[in-house]
Formats: sequence, C-alpha cells, structure tokens
Amino acid sequence: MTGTAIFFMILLCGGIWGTLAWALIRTVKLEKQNK
Amino acid sequence: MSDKTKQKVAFTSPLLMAISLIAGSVGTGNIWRFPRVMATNGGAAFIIAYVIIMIICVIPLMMGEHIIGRSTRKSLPGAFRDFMGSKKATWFGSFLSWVVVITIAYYTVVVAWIIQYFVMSLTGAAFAPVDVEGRQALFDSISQHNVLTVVLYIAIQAFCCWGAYRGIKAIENSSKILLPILFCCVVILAIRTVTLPGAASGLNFMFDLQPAKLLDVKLWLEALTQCLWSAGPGWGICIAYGVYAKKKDDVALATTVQGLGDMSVALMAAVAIIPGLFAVLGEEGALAACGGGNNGLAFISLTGVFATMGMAGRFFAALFWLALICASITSIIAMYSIVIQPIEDMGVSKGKSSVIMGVLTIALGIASAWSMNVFNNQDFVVGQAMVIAATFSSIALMKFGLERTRTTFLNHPNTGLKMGKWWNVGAGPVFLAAAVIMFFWWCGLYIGWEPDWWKPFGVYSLGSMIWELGIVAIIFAVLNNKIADAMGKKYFNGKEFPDPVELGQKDEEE
Repeated sequence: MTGTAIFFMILLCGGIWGTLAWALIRTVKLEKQNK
Repeated sequence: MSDKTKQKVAFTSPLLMAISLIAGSVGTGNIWRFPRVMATNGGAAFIIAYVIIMIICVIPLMMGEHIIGRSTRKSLPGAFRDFMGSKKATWFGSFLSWVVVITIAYYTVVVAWIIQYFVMSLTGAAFAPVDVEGRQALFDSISQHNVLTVVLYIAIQAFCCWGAYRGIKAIENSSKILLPILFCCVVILAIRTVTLPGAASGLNFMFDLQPAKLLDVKLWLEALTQCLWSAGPGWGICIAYGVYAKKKDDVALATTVQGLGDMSVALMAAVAIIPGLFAVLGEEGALAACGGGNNGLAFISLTGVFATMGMAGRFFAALFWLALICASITSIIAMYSIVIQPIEDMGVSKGKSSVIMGVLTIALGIASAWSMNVFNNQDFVVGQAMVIAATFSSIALMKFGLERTRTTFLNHPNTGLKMGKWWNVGAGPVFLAAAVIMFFWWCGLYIGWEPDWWKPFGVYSLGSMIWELGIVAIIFAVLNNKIADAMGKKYFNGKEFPDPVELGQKDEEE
C-alpha cells in the first residue's frame, strides 16, 4: 500500500469510527447528567 | 383506545433512541450499494465527498426532520400540517407517507431473495453454478416468477408489520439485537477479506486519494445520491422516531450518531467487500463486478468470491447474507412504524392500522416479487420519489424559519452539541439546491437510457414515474382537507417540545 493510501485509510476510518465512538460516549454521559 | 392497543410513547433512553435510528437507517444501501458506488467513483475521493455532504447538509436536514416530529408529536401528514401552520401542507406528509409505502412494497422483495441465498449458502447450493452464467441463471430463477419468493415476501412483510405493531419497545429490542449482529458479521467479514493474499491492492485502490477526482461533478452527485438513499431524509424516519423522543433528549447528538453510524457501517462494508473482490478477481474483475449493479455484485460476483474459499466460504457467505437480513429487517420495521402512524393519528386502533398498512403494502409489492421488470421500475420510481420527498422537510424548515428552528428547538438547554448558523444554510438552501440538481441529473440519465421517456409502462421510463407519482399527488390533493381534519389534536406551539403523547388523540371539542 502507498503512504497516501495508509494516511487516508487512518484518517477516514479513524475519523468516522472515532467520532461515532465519541458521540456515543457523549450520549451516555448526557443521559446520566439529565437523570 | 383500549389498553391492549395502547403503545408506550417514548424511547427508554437517548442511547436506545440513537441505536434505533442507526438500525432504521442502515440497510442494504450501506452494505452493497456504498462499496460498489465508491469503487466505481474514485475510492477515497468519493468517501471524502460523501462525508462532506453528510456533515454539511444531510445530517443537518435530519436534525430538522427530528425537530418536526418531536415538536408536533404527529405522524407525517399531521406533522407537516402543524409545523408549517397550514392545512395545505398536510399534502407533503401524505405524499411522503406514500413514498414509504411503495418503498416497503418493493424493498421487502430483496429480503426474500437474501433469505434464500442465506439458506443456499449454508447448504452449498449457492455455489453449485461454476461460472457467471450459471450464477446469473440461479439468481434469475429466484427473482423471476418464483412462488417461494412471493411466499417469503408475504411472510417478511407480515413479520415486520407485526414488529412495528408491537410499538417502540419492539423497535428498541429488535435494534438492540440485530444491530450488534450486523456489526459483528461485517467486522468478521472485513477481518477475513483484508487478510486474503492480494487484499492490500483493494485497500490501496480504496484509499489512495486522486485529488483530481474531487473536481468531477458526477462523483459529487453520486455521493449525494448515496447519502440521500441511505441515511434517511426522504423517508421520514427522523420525523417518525422524533415523535417518540423525550422532551429533554438531545436532537443534534442523536441525529449525529445516526448519520455517523450509517457512514460507519457503509465504510466497514466497503472494507469487507472491495479487498476481497480485488484478491480473488484482480483489479479489472473487481471493477467489472462493481459495475454490474447491486444485484450483480451481491448475487453473482460475491457468491463467486465466496465459492473460491471452500467450506469456509459457506460460513462467510452466510455471515454476509445475515448482515443484510439484519440491516433490511430493522429498516422495514422502521418504515412500517412510519406508515402505521398516520392511520393511528386518524383515531384507528394500532391493530387495525397495522392490518390496513400490511395488506396494502403486500398487495402493492406482489408484482415486484413476481417480476424483475416491475421490481426495477419500482426501484427507479422510489429513488426519485425519495429525492422529491426529502425536499419537503427542507421547505418546511424554511417556512417555519431556519434561525427560529435552530435557536428555539435545536440549541435547547439540554443539548450536548450546539449548532452554529452554518446549520441554517446546510439544512435549507444548500440541501434544497443539491436535491433539485440531483433529481434532474437522474431524470436526464433515465431519458438517455430510455429515449421513449414519456411512455408509462417502460421499466426505466420517466413517464412511469410521472404517471404513478402524479396520480398519487392528485389523489392526496383532492383528499387533503379530509386528511388534515382527521389528523386530530394539535400539540405544536412553536416554542418548546411537548411531552410525548399517544397518537390518535382528538381535539377536545370533537
């Protein structure tokens, strides 16, 4: 794999999956706060 | 309304609401359409365009749709009536509901095929044909004039209608079970395919960005199409599920999770499919497979790829079909809950509403289950109808006021994700302009494919869409006032979200 491909694989997959994980954690935290 | 038919009126928690929204959004479009379109439209450049469009205008519009549902606590026709403050606007919701009805009617056919391929993968019958022609013949025998397909189609419809009838708790429970199964299947497939010899060339093809491709207008239109047909604007899921959201739940965060979940599954599915195709078929063969349409990719090419893996191929093929079954069943249950709501809002019991919609959608889709030509025609009509329907929410938000929507409902005190003024532009004019361009672009493509476009009975004839949707539009226009009056009590006050209520409540004076 080229360096560009590895970079964009980490950027795109990490960006989307990482942001989803962050949003899910934030949802759970807010749920606890609002109880 | 008797106790038996009373439904629970709100999601148990914001997390379960977000999971249910993801489960509703994720469908076959993520698993077999996204990888195919991504591979034939520039790989990484397509993914970048797809992510940008989702963030700039599709997720913002879905937030707006969620607000329409939650602030009105009504089914689609009533929601548009109240949010736009006009009886005439009921028509938007009626038309949108119809789009969902015809979507269920043809989309369920795909699940009937998938279940047969799931069983045939386990028994090995799916791998009996040794060449492309043989696999095509097998698919034709299942998709054309097959009694078992029709029987399965009716059974799946009945099952999903029953799931929606069971209410919001059943939707939560099915999402809790089926979404993790879907994730696990796709992750296991991805791990297997990226470890195949030669799979790295597929990953390289996917992620080696060619910046010049970002200047290709077609790439952006394809990315917009994928966002619209996959994520959910245009079939009302955010409006319908917003009805069940609690007053304090976070709109922006829940819808962002929905959009990100939809993107995550699509990307994971691409990682699970494209490297496998490259490893087994080589670059030329893989691109030819992706160019063969959704059915060609899944039922012909991928079946061929799994066949090369021996006994393990049966297991991985079964996982692939299981992932598709989970994805599509949760979507169909979500769609059923959307179309049952308007009948309930008219004061009909949930049981009767479910039977009415079940019988109607089964009757409408039998022809698609029997004939591939009808199926292909409906696939095309629904695709275009969804684009039209998606613009309605954008128009409704503009009518109420985008800034007013943002400050009053979106950035409410309990939100964990505040939206800036850019949201007004994305959910309003940018989305509307993009959807209009996309609609006419597809019309142009269909006219190119079928020059006698005005004919009402051609498979890909624009005329068939105009006739079908035109007649429905006129019927709803004629019945508009009656439907608006039947929608019952108004909860929308333009200032705050009302508490969740049971559908079908009448005005006190009635």
